[in-house]
Amino acid sequence: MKKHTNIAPFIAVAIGISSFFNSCTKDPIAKHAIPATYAFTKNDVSTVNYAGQTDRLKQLDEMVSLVETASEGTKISGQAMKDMFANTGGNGGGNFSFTSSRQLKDKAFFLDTDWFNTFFDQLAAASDSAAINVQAKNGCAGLLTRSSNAKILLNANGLEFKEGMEKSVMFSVFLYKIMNDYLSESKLGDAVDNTTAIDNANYTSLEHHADEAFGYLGAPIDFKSNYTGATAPLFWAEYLGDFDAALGCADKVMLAFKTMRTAIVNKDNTVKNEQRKVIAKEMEIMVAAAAIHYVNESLKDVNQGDRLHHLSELWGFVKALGYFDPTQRSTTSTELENLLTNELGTNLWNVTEQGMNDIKNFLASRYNLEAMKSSL
Amino acid sequence: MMALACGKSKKTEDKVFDLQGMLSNVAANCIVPAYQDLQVNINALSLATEAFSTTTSSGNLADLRSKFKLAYLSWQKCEVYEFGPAENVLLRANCNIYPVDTLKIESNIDSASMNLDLLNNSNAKGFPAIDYVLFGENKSDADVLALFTAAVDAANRKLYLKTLVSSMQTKINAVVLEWDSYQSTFTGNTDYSVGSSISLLVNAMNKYYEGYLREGKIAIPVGIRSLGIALPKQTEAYYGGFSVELLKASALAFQNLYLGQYGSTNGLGIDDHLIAFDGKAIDDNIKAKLQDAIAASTTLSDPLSQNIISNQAAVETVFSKLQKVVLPFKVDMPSKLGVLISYQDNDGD
Repeated sequence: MKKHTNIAPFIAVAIGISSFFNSCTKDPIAKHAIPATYAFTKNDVSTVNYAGQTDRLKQLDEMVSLVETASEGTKISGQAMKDMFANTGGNGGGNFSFTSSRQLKDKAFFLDTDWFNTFFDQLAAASDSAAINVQAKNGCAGLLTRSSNAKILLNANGLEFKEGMEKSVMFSVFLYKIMNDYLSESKLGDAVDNTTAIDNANYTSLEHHADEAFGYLGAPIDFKSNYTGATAPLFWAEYLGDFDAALGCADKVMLAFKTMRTAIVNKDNTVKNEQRKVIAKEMEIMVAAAAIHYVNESLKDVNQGDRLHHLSELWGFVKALGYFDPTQRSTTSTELENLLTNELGTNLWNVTEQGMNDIKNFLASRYNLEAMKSSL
Repeated sequence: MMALACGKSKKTEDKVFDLQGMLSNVAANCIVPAYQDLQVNINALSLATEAFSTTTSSGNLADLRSKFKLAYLSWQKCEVYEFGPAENVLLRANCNIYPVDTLKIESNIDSASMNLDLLNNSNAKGFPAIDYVLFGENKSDADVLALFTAAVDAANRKLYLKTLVSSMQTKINAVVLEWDSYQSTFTGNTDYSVGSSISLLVNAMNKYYEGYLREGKIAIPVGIRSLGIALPKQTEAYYGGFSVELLKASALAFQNLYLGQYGSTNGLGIDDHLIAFDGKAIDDNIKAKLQDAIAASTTLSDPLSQNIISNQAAVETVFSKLQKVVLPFKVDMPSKLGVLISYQDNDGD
């Protein structure tokens, strides 16, 4: 029989030594767990505030509603649109149903100012045409009737005004601010203060910036995949819902936001920085997938109104790709310029099948969506 | 066996540093000489402006341009000190807001409106305005000269130029004068609280580095804040085309300030303060990152307005090197010294 060296005493000593060392270390501070909804508190008081963002989403909502009345023959004043965009007088020059100190204009990507002014002027002129039932055709703004019998108002280049209004603010304000401001180094980097409460409130700068990013998403705090809640997801969140079946993006983006915010509470910069990237990446994939979807839709369309509506959506998503952080996104400015100017073109009436397929194949390849590009 | 006292912290020694000595060195050898230098150069610029006004020749234009560049270069050593006397006259806003509104400048010249104190003229004055007036946009030297001789508003143009210079001169003189008495106030305040000398200095340095050096001279022009779309007209000295020289001068001056260095003498600076307060690792890090940033800036070439288009990636690299200084400089260093960064670059929500 072999003699086994009795290692028990050695183990005991080893345990003794290791517990000696353990007793010298502090107990790790308990980390917060990721909550089920986007809810964060200190001493049972919420630390989450994105009132400014909520106001702006509401402002866009009312602007879009106003634009839609033009297809029913209501004349729209260009000045009214500009007043709403700049929130003149705190209530959009009397055109908003609520007052706010916030505006969309001063948060829009500054190089887009001229585009918005022109857009509002075009809308006003087109609504005059719509009022006398001018029909849209290539080079002429006017109305088209969709296969559902709904009427839409288009500009001379076939861009649907409602889509133009909604998407332009979605990318020039909401997405632009999320991706280039609130998720950036200057607002969510490690150098940003995460200790001192600001704004006479109970949150730090870092916490607040994360919440402001979330606020622009338009998601209810309990948003997720297969969402059945009472509050409607708005704008970007709505599209996260639309493409969730294909991508699981609603859960992915919500989880990333909640994880990031929890990491901030836990003073965990590593996780915070990881999640910033996750949010940007998953949002970008969703936008690319949406573009592919609208390519597919427009290729199937027979009704001209349907097609131009879908092409207008496509325009919005291709444009949106350019509003992700250029140092992180998957397409270059040159590539995007090519998609917009050559493949889609500046006149949606002149879109070709070739252009559509080029866009679809480029995006499918770049964003690893080859397998689902036909079913998106 | 259990000799190590387990769980007890090392006895904290009182950290000792000659803060007053550092403030004295910085004031006497960095700040005041920089302003005096600027004053000398702005006076020279003023004389050259006079000479050009009297004898509007290409020779005098060349001389005027070179005096302008010298003054602009010496400004780079002063721009960081926007507290105390400089803050009282809003020196930086009066000397270096760019890009200028060239239409406004032309309109001012046309209508002989020379009141630079009007808020409306905030982007029609200072070095950037002189830059535009002396070099013009896409104009040959002969073209520019003609604006001062043959053009109908030539006399107004000369007057505007003189006003631009004298307006800065007045403010610079005021700052130099006030530093005479402010110097002892500055060096005598050895607190660390908000508003103390070291707090003013550290905050001013951070605000300057982030907003004016990194953002103003590189990030904004190369397109970091405009979705990758380069904005050449946002470069400093866009018309004279010596943005990179200004950037290098500024970065070097910043490094010297940090080190408490003047000429070849290395006096007491923030680096020494860090070391004395157990922050050698932070100091090493800052020194290394600053060196990296300065080395990267030497890869740039003037005119930067073209560089940012022809070699955008290289300029973006310089930006990322500049950015790496921020974390140790804005977070680690102030924390170690017990200084609060009290400015918020908040755009409101």
